[in-house]
Amino acid sequence: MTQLFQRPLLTLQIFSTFRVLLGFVVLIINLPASYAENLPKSETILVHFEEKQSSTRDLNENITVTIFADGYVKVYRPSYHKKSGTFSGYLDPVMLNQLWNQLTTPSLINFNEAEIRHRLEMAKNQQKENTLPLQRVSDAPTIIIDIYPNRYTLATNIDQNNWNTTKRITWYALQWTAENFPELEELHELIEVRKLFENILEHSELKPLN
Amino acid sequence: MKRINTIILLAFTYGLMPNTTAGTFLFAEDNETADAITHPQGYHGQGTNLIVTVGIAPSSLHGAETVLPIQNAINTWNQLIPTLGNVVNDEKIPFNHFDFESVVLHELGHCLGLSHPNLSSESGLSGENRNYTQATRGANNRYDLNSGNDGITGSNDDLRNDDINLHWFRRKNNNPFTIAERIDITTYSRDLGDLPAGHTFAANGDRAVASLLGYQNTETVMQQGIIAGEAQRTLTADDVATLKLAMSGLDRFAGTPDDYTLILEFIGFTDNADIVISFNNNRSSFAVCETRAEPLNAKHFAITRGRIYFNANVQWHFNDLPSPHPPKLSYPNPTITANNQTGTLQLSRDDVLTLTISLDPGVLLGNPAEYWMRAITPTETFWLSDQFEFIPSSQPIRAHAGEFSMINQFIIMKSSLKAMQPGDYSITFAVDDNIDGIANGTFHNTVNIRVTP
Repeated sequence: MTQLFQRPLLTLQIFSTFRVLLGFVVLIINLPASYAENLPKSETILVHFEEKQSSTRDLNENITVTIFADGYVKVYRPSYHKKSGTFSGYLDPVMLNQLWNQLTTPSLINFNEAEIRHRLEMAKNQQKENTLPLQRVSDAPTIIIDIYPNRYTLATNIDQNNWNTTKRITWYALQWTAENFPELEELHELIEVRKLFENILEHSELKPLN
Repeated sequence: MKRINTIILLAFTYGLMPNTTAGTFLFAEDNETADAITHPQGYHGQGTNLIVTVGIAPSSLHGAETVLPIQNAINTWNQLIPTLGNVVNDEKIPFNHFDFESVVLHELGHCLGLSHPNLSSESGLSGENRNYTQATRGANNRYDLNSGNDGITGSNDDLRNDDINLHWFRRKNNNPFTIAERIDITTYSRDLGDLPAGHTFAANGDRAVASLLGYQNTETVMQQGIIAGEAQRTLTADDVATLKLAMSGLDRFAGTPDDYTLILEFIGFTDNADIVISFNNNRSSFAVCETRAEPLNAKHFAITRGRIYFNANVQWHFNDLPSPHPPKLSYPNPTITANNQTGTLQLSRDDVLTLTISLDPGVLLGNPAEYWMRAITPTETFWLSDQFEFIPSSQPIRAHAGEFSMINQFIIMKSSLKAMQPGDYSITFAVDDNIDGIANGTFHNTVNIRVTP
């Protein structure tokens, strides 16, 4: 992790133009991939991670991590967090590649929430039929990961002609479900991805944006 | 005193009854287990004082700061007092802090077997849709969500198609902010066929539903979702009724040998309690309750383990005051005014006297009630009879036996004082929470009038 953030930080300058650029990014969303590929990489979102709290009513107040194609990282922690605010930094290219490779494995690109949830329900029913101790968790968070698989090294099993192709992965109570239903292998892969985001969140070289 | 208009009868009989429940249970989550009731740890089907121990993990952060709020929350569950107005913006809680006591009260409910009355986050839904009443997806395997004519999510006119209701509602009025005198399957149901006429789904205890029904700043503790800066430290009728429904035992009838009384007992810093509370960032990013349970029979489960985990990166407010006992805002509030004044006033014989009564029935809306009105005059004591006539009597005379109803500034008498003898008059409006023919004066209010020549 000491090599995670290497590039000199230009965060203030980037943030000052962020809103303008954001508008530009919105504009290019509907352009064909050939146009969009020419965009500066710092405007190109590769992945957005959000951890939605169950117990809080303010639905927009969640921890988020946004990673851009040039490794720029923006982190937001809500006001009720002890380290609240918006922070930024840069990912080392090696780290970015590692994260990208983990996000675009066939099992995550083809992550089928409904199908896994169906297997989870079957496993729960099996517990009941076998009169095993039943287990539940209440008020766990939901993770949401939006991956843009055509915006970096191309992934497999996707429509490669669409720059804006998005793969959304959503799961409630990830850690608890993976621990209690280890047969759901996709969830273990997802936990490894979440750990990478947690490492980014906790990294001391992130600088506050004001 | 003159004969009083029989309209009083109407006021007592009908009042303003909002037509709009107990909550839901963990493990009652699919079509097969929809009817299940989950009991706290240690219940095996025999009537008993059921003691559930609560401890704080010795290694937990914030250990000392959490003791008092945890003890408060334990007392609140032990008292089982339904309240209104339980959502409080406490100035002591910073706008960006969450009230630890409120959250631990909610999580303790889960560890006792209670679930969310609303669909909540485990449904996979987001935003306002989480606030629909807890149900299964039904035969079409999807939640059918329509808030009905009132546009309020979770209210009694929601249209849910084939969704199977999981929320135990009060048969009489489907109002989660009122509570029946007796709590069991004779008064609470999960079957939508038992809803009052005109209702289409079980109403839940969301704050918007409360507001619709005329209750401000009120929300069921087990409803998922709290806002930073606010406190929810007392229970509502829905929370109390759900736990008491479980306490009616395996036969689901109150007053039978399998009933139990729940007693939560704080046993200090230990990992060996039935419910252990700790700060653990690896297990929680805010607050969670992890439970294990075993089936008692096809329709009953019992918790076997409860663990509550908090995240230490969240800014928590730790209440440092003992909770008031009993909590406020629990009971009916009758008022009587003379010429729009409460308490004491002076009038002359040239004045006109207008007596007005109001009643906020609180959580007892729809419960059995007796109404009494006594007037002590310079000469005699009068009682309002069921014929709505003030009759001189040294013994109490009942005005009406019926239900607790909402009465809003109803004029019971408007009369010149010319015929009145000068002196002191004391008029009391009283309501009892039973129908036993005895003037208990459980809830009462008096206005004192001095009539001058």
